[in-house]
Amino acid sequence: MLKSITRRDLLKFTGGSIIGLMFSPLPWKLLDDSAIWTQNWSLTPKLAHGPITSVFTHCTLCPAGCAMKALCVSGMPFSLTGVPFHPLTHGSLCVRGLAGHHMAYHPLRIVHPHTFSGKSEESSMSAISLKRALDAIAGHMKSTTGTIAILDRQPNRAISELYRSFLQQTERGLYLTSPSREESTLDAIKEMVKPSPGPLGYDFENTSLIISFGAPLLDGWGTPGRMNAIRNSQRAKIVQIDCRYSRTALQSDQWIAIAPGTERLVALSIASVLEEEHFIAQRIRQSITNIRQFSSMIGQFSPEKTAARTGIQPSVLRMLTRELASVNSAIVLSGADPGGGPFDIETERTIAAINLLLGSVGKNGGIVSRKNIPGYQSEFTPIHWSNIPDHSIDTLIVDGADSGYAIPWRLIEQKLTNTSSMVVSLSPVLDQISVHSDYLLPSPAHLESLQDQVANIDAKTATFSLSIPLLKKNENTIDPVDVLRELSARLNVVLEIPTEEELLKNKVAQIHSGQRGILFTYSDGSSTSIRELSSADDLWTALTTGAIWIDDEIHQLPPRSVTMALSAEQPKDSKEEPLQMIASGWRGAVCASQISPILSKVFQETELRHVNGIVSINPETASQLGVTNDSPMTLSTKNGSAAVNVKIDTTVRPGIVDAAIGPNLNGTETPAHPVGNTLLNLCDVTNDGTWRITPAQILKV
Amino acid sequence: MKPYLVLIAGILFGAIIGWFAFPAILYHSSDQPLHFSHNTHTGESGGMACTDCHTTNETGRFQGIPSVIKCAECHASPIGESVSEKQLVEHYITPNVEIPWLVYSRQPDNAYFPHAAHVTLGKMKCEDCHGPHGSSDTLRIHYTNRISGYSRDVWGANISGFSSNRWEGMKMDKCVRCHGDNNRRDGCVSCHK
Repeated sequence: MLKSITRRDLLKFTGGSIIGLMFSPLPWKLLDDSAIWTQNWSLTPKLAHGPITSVFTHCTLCPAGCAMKALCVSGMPFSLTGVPFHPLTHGSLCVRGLAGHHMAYHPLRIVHPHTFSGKSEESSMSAISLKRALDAIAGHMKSTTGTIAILDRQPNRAISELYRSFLQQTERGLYLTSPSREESTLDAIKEMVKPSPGPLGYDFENTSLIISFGAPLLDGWGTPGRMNAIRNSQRAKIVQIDCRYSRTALQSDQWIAIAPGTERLVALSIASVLEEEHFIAQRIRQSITNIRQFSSMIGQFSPEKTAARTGIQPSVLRMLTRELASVNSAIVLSGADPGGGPFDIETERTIAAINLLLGSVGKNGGIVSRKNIPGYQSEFTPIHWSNIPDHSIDTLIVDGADSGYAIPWRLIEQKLTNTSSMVVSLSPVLDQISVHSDYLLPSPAHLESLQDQVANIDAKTATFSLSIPLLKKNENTIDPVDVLRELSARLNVVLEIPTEEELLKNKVAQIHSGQRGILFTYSDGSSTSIRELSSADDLWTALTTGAIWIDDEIHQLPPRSVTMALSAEQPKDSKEEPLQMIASGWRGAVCASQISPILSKVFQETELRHVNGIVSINPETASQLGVTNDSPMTLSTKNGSAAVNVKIDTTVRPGIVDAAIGPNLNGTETPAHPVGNTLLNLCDVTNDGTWRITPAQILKV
Repeated sequence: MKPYLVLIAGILFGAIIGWFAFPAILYHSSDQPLHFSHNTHTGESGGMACTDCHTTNETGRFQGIPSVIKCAECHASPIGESVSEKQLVEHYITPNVEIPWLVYSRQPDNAYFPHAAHVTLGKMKCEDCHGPHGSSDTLRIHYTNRISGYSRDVWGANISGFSSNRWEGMKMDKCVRCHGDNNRRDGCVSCHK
């Protein structure tokens, strides 16, 4: 019989077997199992199996410092949630915070000191010993005579004070903060009033009307949980004045769409109606030192005169101003778009002036004073980036803490000396600044080190809490406080720099000796007066196991003397260009390294957020350009061009290109382009340190 | 030989391999470390409920298989004279060593299944997903998938993936189907944190 089996029979049998297998579960089960197998490679980090415990800590991804409850298995965090009934965050955590425990494993994480071959994004990087890097940095600082600057994007921490002391000792130091500051309205108010009101915050809980000039109030601004609670309580009406139909505009009670770049004109018009219709109280008029000059200046900005430029019907502004004047308490604030950058200083001052004219400063339900945290130095005056001379900084140290707001490299570059400058990044990841640095001394990642979290800008009372490390610190990373100590020793700077723990224990001791405020404990939701705690050690123990110190509210006093330091100059008309690019983003997601790739995968797949490279234009603009929805195009400005995907969106004003600044699509970052080719690079940084509007062209590929 | 007979023989051979030989190769079997009768505990003589041992903690989180501390509440000293009882006390309870049970329903680390949402809020019974496990006299042999590493119960006893019992199989399609049938909301991040 075997003789009768031919080669053809064997082939038929094999073919038949394959057909038979196809009618069995084998191929499909193998596909399924092999897919699961790829998820279980030995290199894939896995959670240990063991007892599940919960630990309280605080988020350090942005200055909000939200309280978190971490579920850990065998000590490793695998889930983060908010702390229920928390008096400030109301149990919320933003999406970025929810995935914060992924950040130590981020693909752009750096765990060893590196040096770069140049300052361009294409520069190659190579590992270097910490000692060699520190020697080189100190050597550079000694050999140059220009400014030594430290950029601190979370400027109210204990280490921020050490930075300022260090710079003061060097005698040519410059302390910088992020150009986009959520507290810019408060800073502008402090400039205009006397005596200094000290730290300021917002009493949103007791206000009736909130008018926001472009601030992303309901999209991660301030303390997100607090803002959500304010929105959900519906006690305050929220009006968003914005050139974009942003997420805050979408959720607000009223969106007033304005032409881009006309925020100052709108604010001046509101001020002019307040004056014209006699809404400014006599008591307030008397406190303004230059009231006559101010009155005559704002007279030229009535809504009727500005309507053509702002695009707002005069009646709309008049009605809004009457509502503003009629409510018991109101807050008017400005805010930078996390991608689009800050307003110019004149716009900030004008918006601040409205609060002063309304009497909202030093009043419950308005802008309130709070005390300094005991042991923390009094406030510093931030330097506006427009006041930093170009090409003046020789050495720039960039602290690793992040504000979540974009900073174009172009802005930093124009402040650095042309040839000899050195940039040192202390970032734990490759981000849009660290890829341009000369040395990268990585600090511990999120949840790897002990840090303080002090009152966020929007807080109406001082607060203090600790971020307890949940992950083992990588031994090759270095705490910024240790960098400062090493540099001080090499530069012979006389400055006593304790360890992070000693530094914070000292702060806690001073809070305890202040005998003010309460301690809110997370495990049981109880509040205890600080006076009831017998020692600073008790306070330390409570803070390290999950608690926050909250200061007492103080009696509010209106400012005695106000100087309206506003320019009478007409704002520049930005309507000259046929197409204007406006960058936009969301806090903490303006760069690939700021956000967990797993989270970004979710929002990319669902199109919940636009990623970098997506621009939106009005149908009318699209028709003029001959562009259809989802067209691949080239966006070009004088700073370069980039491939973009165009979406047609009726909420975008004609002539505007709304360009998303955000993480690139997953997988488009490479070691050579670790942060991708972001549209932020195309923005035009102007002399006033802003990059809100850039003339642009959209060209067919 | 008629040409189509060879082809049919091949098809039959392939089908036999796929349906019978493949499952035998795919899974390896392991005995549980101890004999354990759920029925003794939950039946008339024991009178216990599932939740007496498979508890939730103060946050509502399901605690899975009980630790030996729980066993020690009743078995601090041997009850009866069986070999398993002796082993339980001598090897695990007295030295306080956890019993290395092989879990039939262990899900991948990237899947989050809240018992509280299903049992407390959804009013589902343990049997809806675990079948008559609570009334079994012995623990079944644990079959481990050689490729994926998970228990055979996750896929279901039948290699085809089809079963007449609602509780057989714990793959995502079952979750999605049950949520659909009961008009329950679902989304990626509900289960994949």
